Amino acid sequence: MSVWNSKYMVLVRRELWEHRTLWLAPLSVALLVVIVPMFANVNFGAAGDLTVTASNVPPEAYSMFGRALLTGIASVLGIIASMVSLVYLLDCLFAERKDRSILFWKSLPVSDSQTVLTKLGVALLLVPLFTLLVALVTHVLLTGALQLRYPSMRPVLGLESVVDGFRAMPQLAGVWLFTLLWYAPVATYLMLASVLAKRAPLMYAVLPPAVLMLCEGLWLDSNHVAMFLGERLVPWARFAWSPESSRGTFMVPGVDWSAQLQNLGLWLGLAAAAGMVYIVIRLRRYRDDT
Amino acid sequence: MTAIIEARGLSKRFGRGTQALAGVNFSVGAGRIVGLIGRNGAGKTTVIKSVLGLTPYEGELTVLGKDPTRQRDALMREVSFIADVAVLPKWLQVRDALAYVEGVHPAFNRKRAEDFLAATDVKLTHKVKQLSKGMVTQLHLALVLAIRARLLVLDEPTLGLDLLVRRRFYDTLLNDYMDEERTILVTTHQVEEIEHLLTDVMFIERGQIVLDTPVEQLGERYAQLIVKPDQLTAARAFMPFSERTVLGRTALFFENAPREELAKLGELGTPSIADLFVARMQEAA
Repeated sequence: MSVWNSKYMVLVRRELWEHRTLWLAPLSVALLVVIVPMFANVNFGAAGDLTVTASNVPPEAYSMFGRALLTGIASVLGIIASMVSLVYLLDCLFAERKDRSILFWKSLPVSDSQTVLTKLGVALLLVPLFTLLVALVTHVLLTGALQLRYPSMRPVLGLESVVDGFRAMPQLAGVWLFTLLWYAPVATYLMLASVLAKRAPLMYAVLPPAVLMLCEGLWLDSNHVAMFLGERLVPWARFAWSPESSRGTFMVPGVDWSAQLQNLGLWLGLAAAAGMVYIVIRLRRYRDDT
Repeated sequence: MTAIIEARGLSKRFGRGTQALAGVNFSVGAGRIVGLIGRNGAGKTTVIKSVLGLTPYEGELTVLGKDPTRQRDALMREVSFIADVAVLPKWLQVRDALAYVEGVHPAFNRKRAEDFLAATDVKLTHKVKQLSKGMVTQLHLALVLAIRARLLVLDEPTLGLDLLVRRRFYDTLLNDYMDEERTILVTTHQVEEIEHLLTDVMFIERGQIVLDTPVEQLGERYAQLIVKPDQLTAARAFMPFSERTVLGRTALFFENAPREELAKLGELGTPSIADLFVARMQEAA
């Protein structure tokens, strides 16, 4: 049997058959990103100041444009991919109970751990990797497209800027990896909502923290829950953006790993994620879902 | 006879209320085709779900020598089942369904499934949502019958299917699937359709097994006597457990009654499983 038809491959493929938006959404947006500028009519030349010639372009500008372009594309695609992954995680263990197909999946020799970990892996590994790859390709195509469409941009958009974009990849990948590690408990929390929900998994995910915040505000007149969630959901503010490492690298701040690996919050989050995965597997395994 | 399924004191209670199974004992031997027959809510599905490790239960239960709850993953390599018709997801393409089962199940024979499907209207490019209910069931059957499993469990497999499809399914089951190494446990309330293929029959009522016998022993144990009104009183003296009057003639059902003497009173025969089931249920009511 070929690799394509091996057990783990079909488990992953099955997820992509059901949730086609996981790959269709980043691809479609990437296509738009390349195509729209081709037909848009932005006249850089007429702005006067932006008119650049090969002689007056400082060498850093190539690097800046390349990196800025790649970072911009990766951010847009990353946000899209996060959104579809969020929907996927909420749906993945709910839909199979709703359409009763769980009775089919459970009739085959695929353990509940394999099922749950595959779904988590699709959201946390496969989709980000795929999206990053699409961002790279989009970066190359968009550079070419802009060169053709806007001759005045040629001095800053060329092979050099593409190569420099590529050089920024490790940093970009580092930021994504950190983001994924940081958001792992959020992902598993959504899976937990998905496996628990009798209907409307989104409500199961949103209501508990909302009610907690409300109760805390009413009775204790404090906002610890909101603060905690704020920190968890918007990590940049305190953790990821380290100004020193971003200086001079134009738009792609690095992750200060030595500091982050000592960040207790990161490890607590990962431990919580592992605990939730365990609960999700147990629930799918031992609960009578029929 | 090696026991494929062995249940001792199998019980199940839903919440505080309904006793779905009340300490059921039974044993299913290798190579048997066992019909588990009962009314809606009698406990059939609970037995099936316990055997498949889909629901918690009390009591002792061994399936292929394994504990269906704790060793479910290992068990699923040797057991295949259709716990309900129409559970294939709408988005699944037929071709992908084959690829998936081939990928995850070492005992799946893709060619076999394709051959089965070739005789139907199901095309590889169809998605489940494009198929009629009967076609979905045919697809599901094609997948399951192509798995070389030691135990096949079917819960109302032909529910909602038309007669032709039902007939074809049971023919395939008998001719292409069944051999002495395989065991089938099937539930249905369309008793007439499966009685000719069963080797064993179990009746379940209110969470209890009320009859468990090989089909070939039914004739020794049970008798059906059809009498005209003038012989009715004489026949009743042999204590039938049930009787039914149709068009002026009465069918009486006996358990362990003297056959020679009964034969003098009217037409003596062996009751069909369907008649026996109805008679048993009337007696229990």
